[in-house]
Amino acid sequence: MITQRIADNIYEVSADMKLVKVEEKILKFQMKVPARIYANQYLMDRIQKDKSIDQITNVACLPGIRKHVIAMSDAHQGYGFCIGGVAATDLDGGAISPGGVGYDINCGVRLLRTGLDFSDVTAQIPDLIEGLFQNIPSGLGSKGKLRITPADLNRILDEGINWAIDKGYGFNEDREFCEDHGLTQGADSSLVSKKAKDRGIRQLGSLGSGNHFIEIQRVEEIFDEQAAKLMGLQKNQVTLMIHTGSRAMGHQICTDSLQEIDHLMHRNGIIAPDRELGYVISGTKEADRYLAQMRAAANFAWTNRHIIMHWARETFQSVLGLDPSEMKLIYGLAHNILKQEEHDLGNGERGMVNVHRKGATRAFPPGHHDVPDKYKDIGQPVLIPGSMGTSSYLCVGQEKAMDLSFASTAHGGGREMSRSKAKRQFWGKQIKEELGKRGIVVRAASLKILAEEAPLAYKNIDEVVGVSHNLGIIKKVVKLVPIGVTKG
Amino acid sequence: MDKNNPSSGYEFLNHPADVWVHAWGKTLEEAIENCVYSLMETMFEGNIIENKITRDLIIEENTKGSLLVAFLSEFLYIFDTEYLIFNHVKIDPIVKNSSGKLEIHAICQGEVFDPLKHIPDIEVKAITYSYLEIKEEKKRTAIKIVYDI
Repeated sequence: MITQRIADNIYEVSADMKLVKVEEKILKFQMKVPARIYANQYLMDRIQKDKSIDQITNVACLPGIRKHVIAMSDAHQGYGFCIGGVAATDLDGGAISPGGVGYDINCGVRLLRTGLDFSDVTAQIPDLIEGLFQNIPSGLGSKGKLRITPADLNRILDEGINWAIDKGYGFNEDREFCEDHGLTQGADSSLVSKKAKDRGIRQLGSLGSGNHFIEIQRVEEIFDEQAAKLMGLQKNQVTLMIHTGSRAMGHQICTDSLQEIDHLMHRNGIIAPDRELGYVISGTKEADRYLAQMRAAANFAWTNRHIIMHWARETFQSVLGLDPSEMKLIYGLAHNILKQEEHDLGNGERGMVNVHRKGATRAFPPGHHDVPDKYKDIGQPVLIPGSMGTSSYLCVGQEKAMDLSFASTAHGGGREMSRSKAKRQFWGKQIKEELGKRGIVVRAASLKILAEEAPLAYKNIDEVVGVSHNLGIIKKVVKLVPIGVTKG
Repeated sequence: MDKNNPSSGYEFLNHPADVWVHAWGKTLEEAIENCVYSLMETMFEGNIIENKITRDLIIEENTKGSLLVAFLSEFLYIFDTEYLIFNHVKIDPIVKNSSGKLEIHAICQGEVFDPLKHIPDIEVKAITYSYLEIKEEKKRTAIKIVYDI
């Protein structure tokens, strides 16, 4: 497979025949569309080191795939799809692949502003971090503090954050600033397995482990004064970011779906270029079954972040006396999800497609009907967190995203070093001390996680965001730097 | 057990994002037992798990690969729902059952997770089919498998 640089920040593998070894047999697959990588030289050097490009060229062979498959600037090897992968398929007859959503369905991010200036809270950061760590369960096997009934769980799966708002978590206006308004339509809790419900019921309102975090940040740099002002941000204002997903609920739904689809493909004698790329055909009852469950997991994740947000507001209230209503939600979004959206399909054609975003953020441009009214003129807010201790970016979607990336952009730093290598190379304690020297307070359930999540184990976030910005997919609004972090 | 034992053990390979395990044994069953131990080591830092509870597991699947993924996934389910972790697993020879499927029967010993004793490490989200390899030879079976974390 030859990767060619076709323009600034754009590399492409043209639609070619692929030979793939599947269970000891060499099989031929035809790519139906080209595969693109949005990267500069620095990122391309890193993306080429793993199987990301091989994975997007596999995706390009799926039935009903349209226009191009994309690896974003933060791409790294995943399962079936690469992380940072985007692909759109026909609503009628196209592939729907759980691998294009991933195990952590609707893993995503929320960003809140506090209205406080960094200089006013510097001394209380350790108390805030300790408070967040105590109030929000995190780490392996973390159970939420909530005891919900199976009936509550079904409502959460079907109704998303509406359940939480009814119960007094958060505010009505939070809805407006969530992708899908915190409720992904078309979920069906009755299709979700008992196993997934058993695993999920105790985990609502928990952070989990790995790369999930809660971060207190400050605005370090403003790139777009007008957009920042509209979002209520000025330099040195304190913000709060939450990054987690659907916990074991989503993991089990993905596992269940892959297993069902594996059986189905086995029965029908269909072979995908990668077993993790098992798929069902959009429009069939099997596809509807997956979508209804995936949406239920998405609703669990919206609600999970909503409840965590509520507890974070309470923590700020108890430590600083800040009224929870002062902590406004700027935006909340998903980066592992499948959406049915209308897009430009090339050659003047427009149509509805299944957009798989695996480790990619939706980025609708100004004027799009899914952008909240408040942001209609600037575009949908896009949150791209960096690795622990580096920076995060708040951006807005731009017009080029419609043509280049099915309105999608990168979702984070993207790993470049394995966790085992990071563990050999770094010590958790040393990472904590180094971050401390830079004024970042860290609290983690496991010190080993700190080593695994060492900033140097990730690609440079400034480069990742710079590529999407330079391509005109997004526009940078502000750069946020951490002042306190809690990790699972 | 000694995980570095050349005839029965496991190791962690370099993977850009996740946990990639190479496990081996004299038989397929022994290699799968070693996968379970590698899963426990991924999740817990303290390796002192005592034999206080015995649990029988039976899983059936169409192929060896899907059997392995389903079997290991069961440990994630048991942990999330019952908080049980295991340090000793004995797998009977895998058989084809009356419905024509491969069936695994395992006797697992362990105890209830105690965060102070077992020191939680990283949460495994799922057992994946990603680049899954099961290589069976006459006196040795090797497995390569990725855990999503």
